[in-house]
Amino acid sequence: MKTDALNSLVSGAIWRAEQLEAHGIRSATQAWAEVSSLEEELAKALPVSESEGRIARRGAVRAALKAGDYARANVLTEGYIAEEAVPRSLKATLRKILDEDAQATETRFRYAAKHHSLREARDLARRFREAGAFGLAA
Amino acid sequence: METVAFYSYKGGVGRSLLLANAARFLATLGKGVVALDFDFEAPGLHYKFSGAQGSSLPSRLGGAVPYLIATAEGTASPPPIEEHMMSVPVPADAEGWLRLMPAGPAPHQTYWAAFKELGDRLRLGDPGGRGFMALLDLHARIADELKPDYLLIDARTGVTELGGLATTVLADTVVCMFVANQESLDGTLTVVEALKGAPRLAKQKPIRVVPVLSRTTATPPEGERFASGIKRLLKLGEGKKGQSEKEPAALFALPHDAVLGASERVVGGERKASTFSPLYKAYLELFQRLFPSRDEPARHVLERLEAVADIREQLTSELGGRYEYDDLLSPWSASAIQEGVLCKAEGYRIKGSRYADLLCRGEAGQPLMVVEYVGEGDEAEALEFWGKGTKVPCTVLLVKGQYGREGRIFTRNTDGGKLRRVEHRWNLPRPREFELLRDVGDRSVESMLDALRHGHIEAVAWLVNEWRDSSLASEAMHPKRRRGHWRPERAQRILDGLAATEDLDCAEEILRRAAPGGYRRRSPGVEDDWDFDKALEQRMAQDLFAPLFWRLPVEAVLKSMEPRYYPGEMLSLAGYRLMAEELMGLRYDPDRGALEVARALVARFPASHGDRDEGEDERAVMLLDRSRREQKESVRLSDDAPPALVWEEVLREEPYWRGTLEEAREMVREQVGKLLGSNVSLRIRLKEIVGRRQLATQGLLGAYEASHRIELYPQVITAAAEVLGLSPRYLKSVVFIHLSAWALAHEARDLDGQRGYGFAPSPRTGPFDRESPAHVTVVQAFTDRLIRLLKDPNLQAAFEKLSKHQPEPYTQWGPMRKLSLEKLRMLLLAARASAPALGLPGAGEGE
Repeated sequence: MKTDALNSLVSGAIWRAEQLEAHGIRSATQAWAEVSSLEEELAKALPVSESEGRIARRGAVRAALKAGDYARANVLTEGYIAEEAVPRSLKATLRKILDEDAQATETRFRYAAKHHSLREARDLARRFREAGAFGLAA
Repeated sequence: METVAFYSYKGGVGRSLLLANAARFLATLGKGVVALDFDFEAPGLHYKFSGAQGSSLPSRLGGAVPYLIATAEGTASPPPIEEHMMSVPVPADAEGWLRLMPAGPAPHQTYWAAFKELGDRLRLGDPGGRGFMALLDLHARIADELKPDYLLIDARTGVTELGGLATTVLADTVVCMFVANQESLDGTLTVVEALKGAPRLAKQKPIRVVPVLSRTTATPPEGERFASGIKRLLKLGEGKKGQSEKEPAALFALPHDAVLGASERVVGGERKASTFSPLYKAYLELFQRLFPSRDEPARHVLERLEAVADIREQLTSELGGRYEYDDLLSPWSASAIQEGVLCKAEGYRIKGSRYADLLCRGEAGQPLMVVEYVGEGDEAEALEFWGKGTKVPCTVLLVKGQYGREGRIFTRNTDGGKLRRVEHRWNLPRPREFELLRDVGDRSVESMLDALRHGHIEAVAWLVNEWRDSSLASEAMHPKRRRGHWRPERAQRILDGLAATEDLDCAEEILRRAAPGGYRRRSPGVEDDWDFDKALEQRMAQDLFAPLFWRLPVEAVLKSMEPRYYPGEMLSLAGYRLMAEELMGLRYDPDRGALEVARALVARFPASHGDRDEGEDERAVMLLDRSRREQKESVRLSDDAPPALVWEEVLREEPYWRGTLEEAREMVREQVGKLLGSNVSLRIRLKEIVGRRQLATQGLLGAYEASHRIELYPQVITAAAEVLGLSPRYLKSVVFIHLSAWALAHEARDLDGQRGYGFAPSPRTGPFDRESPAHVTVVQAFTDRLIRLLKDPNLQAAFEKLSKHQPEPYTQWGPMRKLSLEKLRMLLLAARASAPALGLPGAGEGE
């Protein structure tokens, strides 16, 4: 698919996701997942050296986070950072995006954040995911 | 905030009930507690807090499920947490509080819809950590906003995500409950092992695990596998500490309690002794370990409950010891005892309120006694409150003494005043005592005599026992049984007080208790030293029964002669012996005479067949019984006309009339009947008789009849007493003593075994048949001796005043006082041997 077509699809998907989010419709998360997927396709098509390619990479990570898919956003970030000739600014921006998301999450869970870090929670969540309740499935 | 999760691998182990009890217990001890129902699939903690009937939560009410839906993905404006909580009532005097966050409005349909939605929203495995953060956020918010001391979580049974997180991530301590079967134990062991290895947050301490075996029965499960499983559990978790260091720790075990368990009643923190049960005790032992900072209060509550339950048991049970005063008093009925009453101070001297562990009420509902368990150093404050703030006449404080808990009794009299400590009393006052005594703590002789004066028959046993202890302590008692001190003055006070009794029932009871064997008659199980009993009975018969026999109202004396406990029982013997043996020097043994007759009869009529010995015994006993019945029947209060009055009426009509007494009675029946029927006429007639100094004891006030029966004429005695200004009671006793002396002078035997024929009763063949003056004088002298021996001023006064209005022979006791007893006995022997005292010319002149 040509990048022009992808661009127009992304623009439409972003508009749609924003509208859904603005109206508090639950499928906004799915819409953002769609945006992330389109941005990901665009990033594949555009090299990191181009500004549009860097915008697509940032957009893919942001949209994944908007979709609530922290795991996907993390995988994407790791992948983009590992690309050859990735500029330092992009690396910093991608990390900042993740940090901002973590901060936003912590703000939304402000009572828990006072006592525990999100990183810890995520680590426990990972272990929980892997080993199940009580760790009995490990 | 300390978080304790209650978990069980299998359901139905009483997990929620234990949590509810723990929550209430902590709230009662002044702690802030939040209970959180995380058993979303089968929520029901709110049922435990609102009783077995359950609460109908409104469908719009919040709870953990609606709250987590709202916060599952995080929010800048979380809903107010109070909207998802409900307050649980705690006892009025509890200083703590208890809030419940139910799972939601289960079992309404709205709850299950919300639960389904939560499944979609709350993703605990979310790599972004939002699921975890949502739970941690709720946990932290409870800690920060509500600031409870304890958060108790009812965790989901089995192996579930939420159950796992509640126990491994949220909890500091996990109570793992299981029942005594292999399946439950194996599952629990697996989970406990996992818990011990579960990852924790950075600031969290390792998880404490307390395994609890629930619903235990008397028979423990067998099998090596089970035993080794228990051992392993104890190794991983915490158990009950042994009594000594060497003793291994044991598993906490909650016994099966059909009542408490079935009713699902939450008793945690309850101070009412009636709630005390093995299950509650086990709860408290567990709480001591579970909440270490509350160890002391838990022990305190346990001690309190045990002490109060013990006191309650004492109050409601029969004493069942020796048959003494306390045993006569009925215990408190269960309905008279109120538990856990918050009493407000009355008046202005003291303000506030105080918790009475037990409040015992009288029949009219008035508070009679409070029992309070007081902590260290709290005794003075408690005493101040009950003493000045209330009018309750008796306060019992359960305090820690040298030998453990002891009940200190404080009382005051019915007029109020200060509460005073009652020393040397261990058993608690009984309800009847509050009627008997002005001050239940005052069991002095005076107090008991006062109760007796008011007709309280129970006081008799105490007084008789006290007399025994005061007068027989030194010599007659077996050293092992010697318990009081010899206090003759006290004994005399008791004797005089008993003798002054007017109430006939009380007087009869006194005689029965003072009679030989009376004090131990109803305690057949008591093994007494034989010699001791014999000596004791002899002393009691002589020194207590005999004086009382002559001093108490005659009506009571006659009633006491009726056998009550066994046929043929004859209590009067000791009384008669005092007169016959101590004063007259004669032997009085009616049994012996009866036995002689019995033997003679048995010899005459040999048994026709069968065992001769047995038949002899039976007939001998029958005769003995008859003899004793006759003895009892030989004294009676008669409504007949006295012979003297009959003769007087006859002679008024026919001065030269000749005939028997029966004929005379028949002749003047109507006139005499009228006379006796009118108290006024009788008094007028007696005034005339008194004026003539013809108020004879024999023939007018009483008579020793030809049938060997003593008759007293109470109508005449009462009227005479009114004329003379005397108490009829004492006049009756004087007449009884005189006639008894006469009868004994006739019936008792001398050294030769002979009766006193000189005192044979008059056949009353005519109006001029009168007793010999000499015989009357001798009998009157012995009457005076006995009355002086009794040291009863009332009897003495009655005797002296009566004799002033009597014919001359009745007044000669004064000069006779100069004679020694030996000389008087000689005169008696002479009179006994002389011609029958029929008043024949010259019969008494030789004396």
